[in-house]
Amino acid sequence: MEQTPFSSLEEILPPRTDPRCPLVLLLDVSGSMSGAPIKELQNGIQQLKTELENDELAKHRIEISIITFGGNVEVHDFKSVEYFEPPLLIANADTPMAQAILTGLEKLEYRKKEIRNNGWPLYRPWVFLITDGAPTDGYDLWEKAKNTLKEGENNKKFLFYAVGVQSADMSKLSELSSERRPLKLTGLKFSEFFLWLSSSLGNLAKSQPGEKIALPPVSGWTEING
Amino acid sequence: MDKSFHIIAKSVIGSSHKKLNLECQDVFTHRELEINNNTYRVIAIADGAGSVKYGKKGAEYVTAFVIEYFSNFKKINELTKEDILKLIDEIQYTLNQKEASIINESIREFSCTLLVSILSENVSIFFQVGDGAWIIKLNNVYGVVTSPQKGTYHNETTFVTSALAKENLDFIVIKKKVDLVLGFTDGLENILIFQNAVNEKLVNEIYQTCTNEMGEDNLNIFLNHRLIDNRTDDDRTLCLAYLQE
Repeated sequence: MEQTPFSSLEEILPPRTDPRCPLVLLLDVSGSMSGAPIKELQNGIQQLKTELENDELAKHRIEISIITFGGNVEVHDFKSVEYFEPPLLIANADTPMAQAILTGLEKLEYRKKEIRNNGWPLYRPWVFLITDGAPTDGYDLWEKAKNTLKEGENNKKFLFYAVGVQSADMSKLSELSSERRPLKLTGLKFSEFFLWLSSSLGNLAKSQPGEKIALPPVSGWTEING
Repeated sequence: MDKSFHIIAKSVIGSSHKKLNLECQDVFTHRELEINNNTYRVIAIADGAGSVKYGKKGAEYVTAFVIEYFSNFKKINELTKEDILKLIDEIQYTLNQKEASIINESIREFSCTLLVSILSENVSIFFQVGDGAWIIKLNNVYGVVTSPQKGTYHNETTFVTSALAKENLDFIVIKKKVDLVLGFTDGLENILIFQNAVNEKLVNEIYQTCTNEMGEDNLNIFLNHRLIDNRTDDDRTLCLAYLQE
């Protein structure tokens, strides 16, 4: 009987060497996020996991780390989509945003080194800051966080985006990036935001080394249409 | 008359472009040339960048330009890297003049990679700018002759349309009889090359399955296989060239 072409393809494909794309979510869980915002944010992260799990390639490529800031900074280290469990978000106390940024970027550089040391291909990481307020951890730390972010952007270490929720201090957030202005979430459209994020992570386009990368077109969750 | 290379080739759209309702941005073309009583097969493959406005158009322009360029080139056996550097200049100049500037666009909007081979019975020339690769079988040994070029990150590469193209040109002349040639775009890199070596079992399977009367259909089956879709969302082109007995 004639064999179907490539019926034994599975046996002759090499082991998977999927490129890794680290994603850092810096999430504001300060007291002002309590009630509907924290609930919607929690649902959004769960939705992100579900969407990425359903994308065969993104599932193998994306690694998620969540850094929450509310009173203190809590680190949930990088996990592949399969092993990623959204942490329970509890809104509490003030907003150590600068410390969260610094911690997140430090963890990211460490993870990038691990990925490279393992010989895995690496995509430029994405860092998202989501907040409804302004930093409360002092001038010096804020300056340090700003400078570290800008140095990282200039050296193409990652792509950084700030998303402001409700009464977020957008002018403060605009100090963080010289490449991209912060985007304002429409109402509490976290669901739409995380849908956009998962779909964007599933379509990482190719670019030239050192080239500025445009934000994938945003729709449905922010007032600016990109 | 020399023996000539037979070609089986196909481009298939990847899931990422399907989702965005884009067409396949890969292009390939080839032509047999008779120059000074020698038979040459010129193959040009280009991968248009999905992130620019006219990546496909750029890929079409560049591949057509390359074929025409060598159709009028009288000393292919003496081709040097300098000649290819001049070709890149001409590609960029004419693409800018004839396509980009007419519609007030930057040549960047036509970004694409380029993979070219010029095959004859005793001399074969390969060059590329960007990702994808050429692999060959010579004296029963497989080798990667021109390799994927990446930036700091895996999804970064150099385009033939860019200012960095010339310094990233990979060029090689092989003055021996090559038995089998495979050229492919980056969608197939991690499948056909593993740890910098050719995945020989897979290339043998492709050769056996795609060089018969059902070759094109079988290549189509391979490129659309769910296991390939599970590994890459990129457009993918595979061009197989072998000497006909």
